[in-house]
Amino acid sequence: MKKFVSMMLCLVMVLSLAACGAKEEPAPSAPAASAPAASAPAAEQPYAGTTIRVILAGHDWTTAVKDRLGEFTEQTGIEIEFESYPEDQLSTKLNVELASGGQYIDVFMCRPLQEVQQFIQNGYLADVSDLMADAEFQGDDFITAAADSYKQSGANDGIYYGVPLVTERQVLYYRKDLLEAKGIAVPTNLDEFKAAAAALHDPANGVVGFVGRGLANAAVTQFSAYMYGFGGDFFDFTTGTATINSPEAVEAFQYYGDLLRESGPDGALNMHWQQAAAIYSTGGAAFCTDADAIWQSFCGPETDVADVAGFAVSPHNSTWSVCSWGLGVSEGSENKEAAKEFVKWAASVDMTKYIQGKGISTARNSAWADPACTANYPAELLAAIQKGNEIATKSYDRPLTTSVSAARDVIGSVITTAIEGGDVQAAADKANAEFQAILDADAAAAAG
Amino acid sequence: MDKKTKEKVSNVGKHILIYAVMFFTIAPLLWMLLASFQPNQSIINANKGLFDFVPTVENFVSVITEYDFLDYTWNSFVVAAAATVFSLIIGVPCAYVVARYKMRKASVVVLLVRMIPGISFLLPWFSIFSKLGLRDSYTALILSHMLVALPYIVWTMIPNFENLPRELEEAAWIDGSTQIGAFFRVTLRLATPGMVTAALLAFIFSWNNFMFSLILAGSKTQTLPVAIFNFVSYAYVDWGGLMAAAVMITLPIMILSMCLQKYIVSGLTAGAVKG
Amino acid sequence: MKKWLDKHIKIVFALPTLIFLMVMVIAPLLYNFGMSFTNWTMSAKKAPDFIALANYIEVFKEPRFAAAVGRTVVYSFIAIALEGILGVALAILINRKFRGRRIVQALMLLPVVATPVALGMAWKLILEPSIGVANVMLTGMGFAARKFIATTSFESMLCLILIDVWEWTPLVMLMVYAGLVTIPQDPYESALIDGASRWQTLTKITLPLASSSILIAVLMRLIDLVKNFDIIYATTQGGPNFATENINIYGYLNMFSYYEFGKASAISVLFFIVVMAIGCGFLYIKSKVEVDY
Repeated sequence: MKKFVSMMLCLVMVLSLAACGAKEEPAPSAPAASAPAASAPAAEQPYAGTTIRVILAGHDWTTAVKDRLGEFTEQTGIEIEFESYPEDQLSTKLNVELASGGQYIDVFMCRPLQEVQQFIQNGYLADVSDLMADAEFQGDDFITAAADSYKQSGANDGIYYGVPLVTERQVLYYRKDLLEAKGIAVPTNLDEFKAAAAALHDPANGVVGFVGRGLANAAVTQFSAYMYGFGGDFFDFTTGTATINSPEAVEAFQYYGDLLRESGPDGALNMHWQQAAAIYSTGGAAFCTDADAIWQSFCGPETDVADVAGFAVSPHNSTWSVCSWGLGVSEGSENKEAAKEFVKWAASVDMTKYIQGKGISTARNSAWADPACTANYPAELLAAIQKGNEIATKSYDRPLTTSVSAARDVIGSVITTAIEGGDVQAAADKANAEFQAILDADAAAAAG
Repeated sequence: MDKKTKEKVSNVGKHILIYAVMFFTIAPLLWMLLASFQPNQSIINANKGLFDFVPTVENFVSVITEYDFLDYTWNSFVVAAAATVFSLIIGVPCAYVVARYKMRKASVVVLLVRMIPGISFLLPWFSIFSKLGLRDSYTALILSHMLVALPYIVWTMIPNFENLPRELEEAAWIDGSTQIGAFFRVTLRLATPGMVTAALLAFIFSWNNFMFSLILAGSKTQTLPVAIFNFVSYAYVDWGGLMAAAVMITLPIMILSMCLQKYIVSGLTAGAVKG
Repeated sequence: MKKWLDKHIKIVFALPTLIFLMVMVIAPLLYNFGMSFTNWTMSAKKAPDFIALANYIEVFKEPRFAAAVGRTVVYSFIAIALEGILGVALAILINRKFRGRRIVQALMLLPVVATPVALGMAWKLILEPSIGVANVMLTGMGFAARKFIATTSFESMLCLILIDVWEWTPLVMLMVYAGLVTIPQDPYESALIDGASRWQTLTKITLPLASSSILIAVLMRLIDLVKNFDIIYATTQGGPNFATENINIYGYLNMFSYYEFGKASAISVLFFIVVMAIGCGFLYIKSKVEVDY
């Protein structure tokens, strides 16, 4: 019996050793084998034989592009080593690799409003201004605010550190059947909205009036649209003064908290969009406000509410239109030119139109203008998006500073207090002081 | 109540207790198993009733066909098996001398390693391994996973060796065997059940390790716990696929522990005969 | 040669492990220690500035750090008590002969075995107050619905502790069980002859003889509890409003979310000292309790 165990252990060992050898072998021979496959003349393929490592986020955009990576290799002769991770894991992975020089990454996806300012300051991102100026690439076709979110804020040097890919706006999701049954019109202002949500709040029958993000850090981006609606903002750009305890901001905290506490689901405090989408998509809520980019999770064809899904512009009449993801080239990369080739291909007009055609909101004006590219959107959603683009006053949904995550944690704590029904003014005052400290530290770091 | 009925009652009580504990232990996992056969929309709403769905194997099909699940499984297996075997090779002798000679200082060193929070390793390891050309290699992953496996093996083996009767080993010395010879011929055999347990645990911890794999693995060596995140993306969570993947990740380990259980138990009876 | 090996068996057997661990650990440790005196923000272009003890002073001044330390202590204390008692009881239970023992043993191991990443996501969905199965069951049985991890009260922490107990008690059980298996039979035989009661056999023979493996199981768990990361990261990420944030999560956020590498290094150095103290204390206890036979 025991002999058998030791034999098994030996077997496992031998197997695993054999595996180490077997798996590592093909690696060096791979590029050599594939080089002759590229048959086009060498002049057109200056980077043929180069391998670039591309790290993307788990996103519909990635899924759409992934299937066509082979075309890029065929056109340019550049081999792609591809990896994708969800946003939090991507962020950790990128931080480790970029902080140790970034020489093993060539192209990566990043969030302009979340980490790009820090990335620029840390020297992770390469200058891609030449690409943006390239006539063939049509850099001027990008939505201006989206492209500008890849500039260093306050630097005015005209340098682009990346290329925008996808955009989003906050929209109002509502249930046509529920509103009709009670004879309630689609709310167009905040008072109507609160009243409608309260009127439709019927937890005994499994329907809450409103569902939305309540998890502190995650909720900040959705709450911000309400705050803009009340006339507030995170901080004053010219003076660098934190304003999250201004009367407008406090009113907005109070409103959002009341809305979730009085007409929302029980677990609002730990609710990211995943939970909100789970509730809304199974018919558990009458209203929801969240980004338009994730509409398929809320009321796409596979959900229970696809047939009764309504879309409208958010009821506070002041939304944001932001660039949520884009591509950057690693400053430490040894194949920067090949990496830029990839960006040029992946964010090209043709590719963007193809992706927009799949119902993914991109950052190019030409794609939005082409009716063929928006055919896959529900008509109402498209109208809400276009209206949103018109009325959007801000191109950021979180404080536009360097230490975004720390700031979100601070601001989110006020949202938590508001949802729990605590003293919002006191919480906002405390958070404002902490937020001011973060802003000051960021300003000092940018100056020094 | 006479003694016999008393025994019967306590026997029934024991069984009820065991099965109740077992139920609470596996209930959440049963829920996962159930979920892996459900379409997305019914997983995310428990109000509909637990069994009110049309079972589907689509989740499993998509796990196997759409994602390169078998590659990841192979990577996980290679890394976990190698980390376990190498840890056994260097860890078991270490545990033996620590137990026999009360080498407290050595045991403290092993323990200290376990105490350091894993995140402190990430950045330095990444730079060192990539400078050595070991980025995205099995070697780097195995070495990092050994740091998880080795302390567990050493520390579970120490009490095992402490509890083993010395007499058999000493008898072998008298028979003219060297101490090392006796260790391999006598002591190791007696310690087999403990070693199986230790190896099993080490394998599991390596198999499930997420942080080290996330940082050190690349496209060629990605392991299962990292790959499972492919079911979560911005804008869509494939709950069915996620649960199916979770079931499939757990399955090999479960089969392994079922098989090895036999040896743990057989070790028990063997020990009883000799002891 | 063989003689030489026998003479130096201590070194020959212990050295490979010790060298391996040292090599793998010393570099990161020194690196962190060094970085804890700088203000490095993980920048690739700006070299870290030496700022002496500023990070440590800042950390000590922060109420959030103190709160995280408190929560780590509370979390570990409650969880280790539950896991220790339940784990030993289960090990003794499972060590007895009964029908289906092998299957029960294997099934009980499942929570330890299952991938933490998936477990975290499953628990999050199960405990979701509006659509999760936990509340559906509670209300179905006539209890009031609860908020579980979606509250800033102690309830969220308690939920995390219970998930921890659920996941790791079987490990304690298995480790103690592995120790029970090696207990020789003769003390039991003589106890049987002396007519000792079951309780006496348990407290006078089983527990003392298994003490070494119990202590080790508890120690291993305690270390993992103090540096607990996976469950919290997968469920609440320290929220709502930092109600479940422990030292390790706080350190992680500083490192990978706030880019405060220097401060995060200071936290991990402090953390290491604390855990080391716990470990040494435990080893001292172990040396006192240990039974030789």
